[in-house]
Amino acid sequence: MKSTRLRQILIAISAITLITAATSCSSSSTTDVQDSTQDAEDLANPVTLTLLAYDSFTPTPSIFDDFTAQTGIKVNIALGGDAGELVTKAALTAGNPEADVLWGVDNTLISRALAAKIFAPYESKNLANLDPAARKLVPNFEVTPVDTGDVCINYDVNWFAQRKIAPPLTLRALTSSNYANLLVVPSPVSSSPGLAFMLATIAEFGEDGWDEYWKALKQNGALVVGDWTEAYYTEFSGSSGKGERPIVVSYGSSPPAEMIFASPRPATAPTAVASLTCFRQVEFAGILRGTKHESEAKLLIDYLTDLKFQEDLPLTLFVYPANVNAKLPDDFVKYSLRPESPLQLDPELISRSLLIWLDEFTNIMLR
Amino acid sequence: MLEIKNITVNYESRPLFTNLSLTIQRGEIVALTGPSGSGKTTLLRCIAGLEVMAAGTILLNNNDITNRPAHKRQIGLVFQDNQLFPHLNVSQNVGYSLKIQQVAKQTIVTKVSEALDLVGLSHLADRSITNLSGGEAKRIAVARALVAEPEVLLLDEPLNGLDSELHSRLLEDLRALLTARGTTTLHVTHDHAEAATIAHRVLDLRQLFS
Amino acid sequence: MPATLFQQNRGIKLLAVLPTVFVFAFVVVPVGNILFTSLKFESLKILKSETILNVVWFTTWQAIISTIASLVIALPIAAVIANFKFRSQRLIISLISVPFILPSIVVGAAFLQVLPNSFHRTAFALILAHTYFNFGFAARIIGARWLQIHPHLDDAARTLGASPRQVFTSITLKLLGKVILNSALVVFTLCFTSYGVVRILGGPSRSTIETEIYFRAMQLGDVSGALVLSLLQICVISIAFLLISSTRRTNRLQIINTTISRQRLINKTSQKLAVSTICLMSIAFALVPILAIFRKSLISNSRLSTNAWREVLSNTRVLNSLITSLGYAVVTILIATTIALLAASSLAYNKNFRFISALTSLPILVSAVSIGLGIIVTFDTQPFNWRGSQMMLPIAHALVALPLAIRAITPVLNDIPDSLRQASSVLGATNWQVWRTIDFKIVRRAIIVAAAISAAVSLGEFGASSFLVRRNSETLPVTISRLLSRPGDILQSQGYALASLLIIFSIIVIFVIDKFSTTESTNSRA
Repeated sequence: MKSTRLRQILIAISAITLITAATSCSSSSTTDVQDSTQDAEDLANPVTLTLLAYDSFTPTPSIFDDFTAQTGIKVNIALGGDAGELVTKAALTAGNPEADVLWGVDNTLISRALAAKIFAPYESKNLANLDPAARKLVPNFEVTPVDTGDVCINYDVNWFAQRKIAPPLTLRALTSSNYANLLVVPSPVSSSPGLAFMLATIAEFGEDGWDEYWKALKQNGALVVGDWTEAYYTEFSGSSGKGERPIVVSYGSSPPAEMIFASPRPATAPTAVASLTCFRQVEFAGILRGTKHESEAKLLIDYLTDLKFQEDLPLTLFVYPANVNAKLPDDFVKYSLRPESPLQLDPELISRSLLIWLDEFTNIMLR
Repeated sequence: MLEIKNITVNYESRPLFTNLSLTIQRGEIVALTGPSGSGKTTLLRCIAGLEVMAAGTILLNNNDITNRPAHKRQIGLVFQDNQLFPHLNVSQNVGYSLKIQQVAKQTIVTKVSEALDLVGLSHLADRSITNLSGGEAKRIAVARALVAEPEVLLLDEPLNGLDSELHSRLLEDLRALLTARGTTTLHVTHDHAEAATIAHRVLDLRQLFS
Repeated sequence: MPATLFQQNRGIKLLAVLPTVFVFAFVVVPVGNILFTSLKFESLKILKSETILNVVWFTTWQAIISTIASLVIALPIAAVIANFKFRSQRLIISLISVPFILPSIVVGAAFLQVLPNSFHRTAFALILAHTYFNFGFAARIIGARWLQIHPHLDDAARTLGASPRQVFTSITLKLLGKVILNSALVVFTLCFTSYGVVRILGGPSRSTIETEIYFRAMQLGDVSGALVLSLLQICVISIAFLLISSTRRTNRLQIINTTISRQRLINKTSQKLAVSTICLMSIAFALVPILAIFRKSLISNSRLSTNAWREVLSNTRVLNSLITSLGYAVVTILIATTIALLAASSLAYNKNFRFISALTSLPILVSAVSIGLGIIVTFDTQPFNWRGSQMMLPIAHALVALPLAIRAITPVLNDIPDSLRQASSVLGATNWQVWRTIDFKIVRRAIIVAAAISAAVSLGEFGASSFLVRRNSETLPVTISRLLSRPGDILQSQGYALASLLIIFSIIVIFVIDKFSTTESTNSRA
């Protein structure tokens, strides 16, 4: 009977899928944190390090092959949510960590992370080659800077050119009536670049003046949305969403990305950055305290700050390498402007005041 | 008086019966016999308005009810498996038709207790319908149909599957009830003895085709 | 109907063991652990803040409205499912089931595309999305139960003078009351604890308890405050549970109706019009957001192009995430369906096991954040050092799928007339044989529905099950999220292409399983 045959076929397909899935699952990674009886020097039983990173950690897949070839250590990448999640989970498991190395704590979270004693300090052999300003943030070497970036005001070049209006170049300018109803900002409560922008305004106008600034922005018709994707891809006029607002908070690396990932490639850069509005973001990687493979983890930190890995970063994570000797792709050099003195805030101040600032922001902008 | 004239009914696009005619006088109890599967239940459902006929007319007291919907026909039907409403207790089942007509609560109470008396089940008034015996359920189904005071009562193999003692007791009670009330009845059964006992007139389904 | 035959069997008690252990091990113990270690009394003061009270209020009323809207849309569709038979019926039933299993990120992106800008960041958008997720699921559950109402019951009412509207209000609704309330409860819980769509569609000024929990724990590092909110969430949902179960309706349908179908062919024009309208509108509702996603995957720089698709289908990383998701789905199905069957059986065969129902609902009552953090601090030492294991993700998915899968199986199991079992037993069958030939045969279709639900939960990483554990390889929803959040048109289109792939895949899963189960039912009727 036809239906019995169909049933048999479906059972066969399910069985095959199951077997394939089981074998592919087991072969694609070995994930358990290794047994404590492993001796670091014992290469006969190779060590696998677990690198825990945020969900959007996507370096070139084969990037660790060289590392494995040089040291015999395999690297397993585990994804654990966003940076905030990583820190919370690491804080809960401090001393008995889920992984060996953590990638992705940034300067807004670092103070919280250090207070929870998540890391085992290590002075990397590449430290001297790394961005000096970034290094200053961790004088005790608990973590190592791995990349930097800027969160800046991006604007739609063509929009302003067509109307023959000068684009905004400073934070203060955004409150001018020339730019009324043109700005879209992701909320700092739910968005990392949004948070960085809010911190930029605090850095610029001080803890006493920043709320006046935001009230002015609100009066000037600034739109607050939930996340960066909505701001950039729905509301912003300069990207594929073709929204209505030509001014958006985004990354310093967004203009090159618009060039590289547009098809066909535009003749001139469609977007640009107002470099006086930028807030510096620094990302760190660190060895988790309590790992059973501290020596191997040190080798990994060194590799993460070496040229090969660092030069992979711009086109995969859209950040700037912390290693000052790393070569940038041409498009990055051509289409992005790195501000010389971006806005910054003391990480400890950020950690202490975050809740107060976010509550204040909610009161001003979201009620 | 119920007149069925030349009705044709199809079942899954094949004719079940064609040109069937039947007349039942007011107050008459007619028994309809015939083998299983010959369409007796379908005939009852057509009369009640639950099935669509391909052709023919039905007249009730000289009114053409062929196109009238079931709930306006005043024709009651006692199903083979009773179809008591599981969410209502015995009284609520029996009084259902009155509640639908939005009859006053007190009247419903009176009429329901009368009906339950009639079938000898007053003691079950507040019971749930889930643990009733076959005989009890059947009586309640009959009571429920009668409370609505239908012009015609249709019974679909009402005594099917009952043990012989229950069978004869129920048959006698039913006959007494229907003759006392003068209910126009069409009683379908495959049991000729039963048909003979209860009815004024016994017909075979096959006789009704022209 | 009590299974008197099985109740005498002492071995039946064992049925409850595995489900209980499963939920205890992966929910009760971890949550208890994290409460014990991280909860601080002083955090209770956040309950007094006006912000939190506003959040609780918003969460509650949007969930209530979403539930009502879902049911209002579901009822006409259920009516069409239960009372008519027409050619494209199975297709339509399958199509309306697709939204339920789509991941929040896909639905969120779709609605942002479809809704005009003025509706972004509104409560309306959120409620619309919640309704979108749940209407098909509610329609199917109510429709399936409606199908079990013997058509002659309606007929009896009609012969007693009830007009079609009166049949509906006095008979149908009363008999469906329990299943409507139970679906309402499930939909309410899902809407109450929803996270993804709230973030995407609700806008920055709207938060629910779940987003607050996440925010406190992850952005502020205030785990204790998050746990307080989690307890609050459990309280509110428990109140809803209690309210619903206090309206104890034991309107068990007498017989499972497998002989006469309610479904009739459509003959009257008025019926044709009504049915067509309902079908067209429900399909439109289900498909429009999906089509919006397909469209975005084919448009790059305002031009039609298949580049995104070509990239996605040839990209090994993407294909790996597809296979990973599929693999996890298969394992989830095995775990969830087995445990659901055991749990449903213990519920059906032994009155003392009522607690199983509440216990297995815990995963959707308790915030995923609490469970996730609990697992991390609990399964961290040998021999239970499982938090990094591959199996944790399917286990997390199975936990979330479990209450839904159980609800698919239990009503069917409960309605098996005990007389069938007794008849079989009298003829000489052992308890095992009785179970195999009666219960298992009847419940097979429900098991398949449970499997489909589990697959859906797993593929879509439903109910924030993704928060619970970390991944060792990227799964589909993570890949989609990543692509959609990257700058550059190309990556965006790829994100939509992958989302389209997930949608196509979900549709196939639903179709195959629906086809399977319908074939089963026609066999059992033959």
